[in-house]
Amino acid sequence: MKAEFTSHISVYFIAVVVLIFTFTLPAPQPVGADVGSYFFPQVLLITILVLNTLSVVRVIYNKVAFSKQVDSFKITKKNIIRVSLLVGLLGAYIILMPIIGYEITTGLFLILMMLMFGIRDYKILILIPIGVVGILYIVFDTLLSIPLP
Amino acid sequence: METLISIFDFQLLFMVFAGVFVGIVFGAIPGLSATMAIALFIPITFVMSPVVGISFLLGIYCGGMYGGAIPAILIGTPGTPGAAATLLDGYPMGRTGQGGRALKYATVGSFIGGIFSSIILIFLAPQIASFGLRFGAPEYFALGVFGLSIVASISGENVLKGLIVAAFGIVIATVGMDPVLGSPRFSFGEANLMSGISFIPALIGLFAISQVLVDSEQQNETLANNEIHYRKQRVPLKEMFSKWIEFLRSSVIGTVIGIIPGSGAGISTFLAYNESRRFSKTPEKYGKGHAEGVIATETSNNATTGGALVPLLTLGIPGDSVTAVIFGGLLIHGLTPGPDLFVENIDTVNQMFGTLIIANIFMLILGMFFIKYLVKVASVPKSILIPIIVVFCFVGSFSITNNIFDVWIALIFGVLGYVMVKFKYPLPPLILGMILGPIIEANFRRMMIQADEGILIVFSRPISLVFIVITILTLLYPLVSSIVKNRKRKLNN
Repeated sequence: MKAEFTSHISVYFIAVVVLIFTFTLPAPQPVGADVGSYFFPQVLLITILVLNTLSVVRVIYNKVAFSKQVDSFKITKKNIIRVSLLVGLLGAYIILMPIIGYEITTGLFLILMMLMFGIRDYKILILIPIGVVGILYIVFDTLLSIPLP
Repeated sequence: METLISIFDFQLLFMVFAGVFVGIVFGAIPGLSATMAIALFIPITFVMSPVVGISFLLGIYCGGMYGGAIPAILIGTPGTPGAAATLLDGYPMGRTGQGGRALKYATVGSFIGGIFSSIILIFLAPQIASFGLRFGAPEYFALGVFGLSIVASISGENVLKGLIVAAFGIVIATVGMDPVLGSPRFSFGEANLMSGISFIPALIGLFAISQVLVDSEQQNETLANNEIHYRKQRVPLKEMFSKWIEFLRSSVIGTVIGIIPGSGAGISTFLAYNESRRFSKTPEKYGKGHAEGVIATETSNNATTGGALVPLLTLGIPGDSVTAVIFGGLLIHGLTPGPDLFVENIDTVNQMFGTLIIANIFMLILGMFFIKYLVKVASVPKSILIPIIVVFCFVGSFSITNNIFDVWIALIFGVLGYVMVKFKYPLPPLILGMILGPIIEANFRRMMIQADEGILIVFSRPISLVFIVITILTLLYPLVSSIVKNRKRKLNN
């Protein structure tokens, strides 16, 4: 239930903030019967606020009517930490790619991520990154002429 | 005749085969999907010709829909949502040592269903497309709004959350240039946002990276354990032919359901299973390892592929979440789905129809003769597969415009998708909103400028009025049925 209300409050917050932006950002004058640049997003954001309110009412009704329903969101501290670490690793990968070089960064990233997922066999930790980077280079750069980052 | 000859080009055939192979592998690994595979491989098709690129994606589509049957039958876990119904009889067959037979039925059923729906697509699509050529701004606006009503079908239990997500998707699509005035909107002075949020990286993030984040929550032991065992078995041809009614009935059901936007394999497979049991002389055998149960589900599963392509290609309305992703693939090759596609690119469309048939043939060949090797590939532990998938996600996102900003878009949408999954907000409506938003807004504003009566013109033209009425009914039905269901549950409690 807490997770459900957290999500609805977040939706309210995002919709209101973006709606305020639509009234403050500069926009050209509409031509003729045109409604203007921000009319459409404003209508949508107000619709989101209305739908969100209906959803909150539905949640409260279900809580009152079916109070024995189990909260099945499965959001645990352990999961949040693990996923946050992974997102941090992905962010670092993107930042370091143009600095260290794509091939080295990708190799290091693959090793770290496999270690994070419990792979301890050193043969896999060495061969997979070499194989993947090699295949990417041959397939993308050489065969398909798609430049790597 | 020239079109027919051109589809037997070696490069084209090779890419269709590769697509089917990739699709089967992705469909066979629980947690991956045809949707993810298509999103991941769209950037690779960028350097190919439109026909070759789209054919590759269609191969993935066909293979992916079939691949989900492999783990459903052999380990009791559906590889794709469409294979959930295959579990009912497929897994009991697998448990009693009949897994090989079940897979043979699944393969033949998928082939027959796929071919049937492809033939229907070939004959029906041009008729619907020529009807669509009569559309003006009011009809396109109403069609876009009707397309949003699909949200009601693909949102699962919570239609309100689906509509919220779709609306956010449309708002995201407004980032970039105003379609009428040509001025920047929501770009905040950032040059990379002037042309809007890149669709393909957003797609990759939402369907591939978010799934990676969800999978990463599993224990390391679970990620390492992905082994599937398979034993080859034969099914006599006479026995296979004796089930022809089952194949035909399920093909029809799958194709018809596939044509209805928003329905998809999740609905068609259970409907086909129910009908099969209803018409059976031995309904008590269903659920205990009955071959007809597997035939019904897998035939209808792949029969939705051709059906779902009908609204996508003819009207530009994705039939399900997979075709929503294929929409992106078509755009990247300069092919805008809709009635004009059949006027400006009729040769390409005809070639696509031909390659769809070929993809089903390759799927039959792979399923009948190489399933042992496919099972081995699908048994690669996720702890090795997931990091490789992430690398491909980032390469794919970068390759669209050679801009590292798109890789950040993929990551941001990946995190967004993960948060949405955790808080039970459906993902497909976001993509649907991003696809339909520009259609709805541009035609709405064009309508307001051109027509004296403004938005009321939608109600005065018959085609647009029909779309609006169907939209209202489609949106109201799940809400009303949900209220009735809750009332019944309350009474039972």
